Amino acid sequence: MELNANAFGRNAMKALLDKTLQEALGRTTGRFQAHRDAAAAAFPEFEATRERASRIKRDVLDHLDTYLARFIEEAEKRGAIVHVARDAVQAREIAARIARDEGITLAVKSKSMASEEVSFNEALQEAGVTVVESDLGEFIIQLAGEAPSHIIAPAVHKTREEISRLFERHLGEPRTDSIPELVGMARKHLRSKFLSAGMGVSGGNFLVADTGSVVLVTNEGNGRMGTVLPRVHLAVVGIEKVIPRMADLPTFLRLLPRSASGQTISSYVSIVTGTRRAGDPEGPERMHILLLDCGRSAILEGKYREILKCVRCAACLNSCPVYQSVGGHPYGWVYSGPIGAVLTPLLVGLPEAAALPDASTLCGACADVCPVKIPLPDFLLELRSDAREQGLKTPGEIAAMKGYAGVMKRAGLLEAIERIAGVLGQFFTKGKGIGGLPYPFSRWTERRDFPAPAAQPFRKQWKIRRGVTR
Amino acid sequence: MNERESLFRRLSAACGGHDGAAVKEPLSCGEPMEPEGDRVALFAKTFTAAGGVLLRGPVEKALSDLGEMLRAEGVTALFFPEDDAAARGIAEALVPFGPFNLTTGV
Repeated sequence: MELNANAFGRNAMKALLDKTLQEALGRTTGRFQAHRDAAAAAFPEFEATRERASRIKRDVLDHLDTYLARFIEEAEKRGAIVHVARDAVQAREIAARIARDEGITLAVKSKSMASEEVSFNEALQEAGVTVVESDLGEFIIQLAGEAPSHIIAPAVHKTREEISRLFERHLGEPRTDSIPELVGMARKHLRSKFLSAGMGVSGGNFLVADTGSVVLVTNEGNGRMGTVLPRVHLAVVGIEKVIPRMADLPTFLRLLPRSASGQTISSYVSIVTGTRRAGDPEGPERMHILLLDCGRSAILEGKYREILKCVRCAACLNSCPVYQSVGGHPYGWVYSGPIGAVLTPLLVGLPEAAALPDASTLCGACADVCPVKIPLPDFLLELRSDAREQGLKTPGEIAAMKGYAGVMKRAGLLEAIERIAGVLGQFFTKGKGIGGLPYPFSRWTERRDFPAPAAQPFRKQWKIRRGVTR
Repeated sequence: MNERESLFRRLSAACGGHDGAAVKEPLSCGEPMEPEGDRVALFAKTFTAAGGVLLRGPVEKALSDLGEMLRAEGVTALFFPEDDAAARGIAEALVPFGPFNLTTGV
């Protein structure tokens, strides 16, 4: 997927002006967030389970070499062929080689953010393979020629009208605004692909070390169908997805669906362990597992290693006021929202994505909802500091921050400014908002009024209320 | 050096406690979420609260009780999938407590 992260500001502005997108985002993220909050509140052990999950993931990071080695050993015992890719180039080469060696001409694919990192579909297409996305949202954006805009709801930015137009143009289906009819159209089209595909491609929510299993947590059934019907199954998974034991899986199954969409459990939990065995009625004859490093081992070495705990639930996206306002595309790469704002610079290099850590109000909502307790706001601040050290901030930004810090460190100066601003503000604006300011503050007032300074600074009001005379 | 060896070299260098702290041993296999007895009790409580009927005791008694309940409900036939040996075994074991016809629906 082409990287365009540093155009975040420009693309965010376009997104803010897109009324259709704004409606779609408001509806979807609001719903996901409300369901998530209700599900967490209804689960008395939610916080304890978060803590346990965080501890398990931290243990994995401390012993990733041990657990990954065990996973590979167990998976290979059960018939899987495990490949390792250092980077995106290797991953594409391996994927193309697997397709060629297995004689694949058609592949059905379920959602895999890791595969988006390495432009997997393009690699297979160059090898002469037709790749059909089978997740409904991914299918829609594949038809639209767009990138996913949300980790678990990739077509969240599309309205039903837009989807119907796509189905009319690409599938020859009649226009409708009925969601069940649209789903039926997609199911009809995809069913024939499932039945004729030589290879099913999946991601992996978890890799279980002690059994060599790939776990898929899905809602649509395409993940299960795509990994059971075709002759070959290829799972593309980041190395950090391993968990130590099957007994650890319930901890994450209690958190992931609740955090993602407020479900107690997803519609399907598929535990794929090796190839079809004698007596099995279904399952792939051949199974390949492509483990991606692609920058993860480098992250593991550094101060941001806890970002690798992520289970890709997208709870942080749904709770983020920035994501809620602009959606996923302005983030300019595979991952969006708070997780994208940290992970993208770490995977692609900070100079290529320096705009993203600034795409945050630092409200902390993401850290509150993260099921594995990743300190996202801390990482965002740290990345901003790294950007400063690497010379990625403009002189204007540096001067503005120095000025701000200079004032905020001096209580007396701050108070004096507040008093003067209060008097002038009341005189010039009569307490109403300020509609126009000179550059660079005009970038604020272009779209909204700047609040008028209070007649009395809060500090003074507080002292009066508390009876402290001055 | 192949890519797998190279990966594990990178991981071994990267793994470990931060700031030089000693790494604890991997968590032991035995950190169950709850003791098995508690899990069964929780299942029983939840299942019963949802209107389910839980049969306890030796298999023979459970089958006898189940047979009685099914007769009281007016059940006369038991269906099991043709390729499900376990379901066939349970259905056949219930026949003496019936009478029940057995069918695979084929």
